[in-house]
Amino acid sequence: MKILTITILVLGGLSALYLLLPESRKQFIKNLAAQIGDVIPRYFV
Amino acid sequence: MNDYDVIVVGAGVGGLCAGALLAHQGRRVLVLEQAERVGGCCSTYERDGYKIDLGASIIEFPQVIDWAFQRMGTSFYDEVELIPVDPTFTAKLHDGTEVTFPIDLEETEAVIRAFAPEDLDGWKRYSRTISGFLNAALQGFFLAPARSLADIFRLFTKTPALLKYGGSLFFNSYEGVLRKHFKNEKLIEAFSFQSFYAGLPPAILPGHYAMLPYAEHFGIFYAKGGMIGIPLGFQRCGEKMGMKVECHRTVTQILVEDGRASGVRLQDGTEITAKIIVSDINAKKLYTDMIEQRWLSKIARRGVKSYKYSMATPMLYLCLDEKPPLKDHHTLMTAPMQALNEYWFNHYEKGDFPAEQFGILSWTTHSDPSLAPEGHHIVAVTLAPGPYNLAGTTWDQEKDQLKEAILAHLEARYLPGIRDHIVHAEFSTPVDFERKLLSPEGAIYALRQDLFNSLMFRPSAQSKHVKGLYLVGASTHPGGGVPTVTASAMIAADLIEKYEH
Repeated sequence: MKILTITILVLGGLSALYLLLPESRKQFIKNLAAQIGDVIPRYFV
Repeated sequence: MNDYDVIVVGAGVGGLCAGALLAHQGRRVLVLEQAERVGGCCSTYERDGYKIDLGASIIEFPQVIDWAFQRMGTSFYDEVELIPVDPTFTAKLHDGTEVTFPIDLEETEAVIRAFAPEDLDGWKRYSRTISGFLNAALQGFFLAPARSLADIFRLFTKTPALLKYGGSLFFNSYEGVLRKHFKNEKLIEAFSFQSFYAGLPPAILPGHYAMLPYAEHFGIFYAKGGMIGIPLGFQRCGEKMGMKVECHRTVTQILVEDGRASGVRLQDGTEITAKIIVSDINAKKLYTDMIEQRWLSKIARRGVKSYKYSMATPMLYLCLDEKPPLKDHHTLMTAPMQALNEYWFNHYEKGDFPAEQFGILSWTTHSDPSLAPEGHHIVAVTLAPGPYNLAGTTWDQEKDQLKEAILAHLEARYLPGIRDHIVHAEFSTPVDFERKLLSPEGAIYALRQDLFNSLMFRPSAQSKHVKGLYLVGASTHPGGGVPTVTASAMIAADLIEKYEH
């Protein structure tokens, strides 16, 4: 329960921080986030 | 006995430099090029007495190119006649304001003091960070192989200054770095277009590329006789050591036996054998079309598929019978930073290419009048990033109409009266680049250059799947650009010297 609460608080905090970011910083993060799943396969090329 | 020790596929700057360095290691080298001339994107063609550069119109970081020539016992400055370009550029802002930045840093500081006095301190902070980062990059980053986490760990432990200065740059955007240092929107606009030199808009390009407007103050040069002089310099050095270069020879397949490269197959079916293959072609195309998929692991096939090609750059080449109304070798036709981002997301990514363009006017005959008949001039116009697929139409269908519309826009905004003085005007679209250079989608930097396409996430210089296969050019570390592909050739030559006896 404690772990769940901490996780929710951390995720909530990160989401709030993200919402406060300027649009361009959001685009930068969105572009990288969209490629997260490709990072490990690319390491093997 | 193999036909050669090394076959280099593609005679771009990376391929020729690698070939020449390997010939200097005492290896028998054959370079195969599909086009009629060498140089790839750094090439020059002749039309009715005009020498027109295909892509690259200046070089930055001459010291990196010089390192390669020095390894062959000569120097860049002895092999290629270089013309210094000064000022770096004149920016024509969207509101008609003009600002010119000289090479000299003190003079540039004076320009900023007059143009944007509120940003003088920001310029000094920016200069300190970027010069610290660039000096560190020149010590380690450019020549590090960057194949794995271990290589990256070695790079940062050997060059801790990279972390000191780069830490605040790598995880920020180009836009973020500029906004951190500057407040004046006009100054920000003047430094914004350069993000497309690395192939992405300011909002998503990694912050370390914000070095680009500053790096030009290290000196920029034009090769006398056309930019093809640089690859020809490497070709000459290689040929002195027995390297052979053959044009009009298209490689369609890399031959692999027992997991090791064994040669190449040409379009006409000819097979040529060699123990080492150096690929100077787009890595996505190499691993997708030119190597049997069974040699790649499943995860690597997924990685290859995930890469996106870099942007293409439509070009307009203007041959003129009169001096153009310009001041300098480079004039940037700029737009506010936000407009560049919006262009990317609302036009480029949706397959739209409007005629109201921003970009670069490269007046090459300003630096080298011998490129054109006496009194005549050449202006190469690098336009905004062009989507490979146009929405609802094709480049071939739109080409003539677009050319006229862009010319009308250029005449109205930047080059008054120009259409009365055009001897030739040629418009080269992403599809034309693909046909000429066999570069997929006309991509000028091969693959996108954001953080997750860089360093160990970019295709490795030493193939992880086929022994004896090495990669050079824009699709491997450190990425696209004449000095960086030269660096990729040095990395490959070092790896071959270490691993291939």
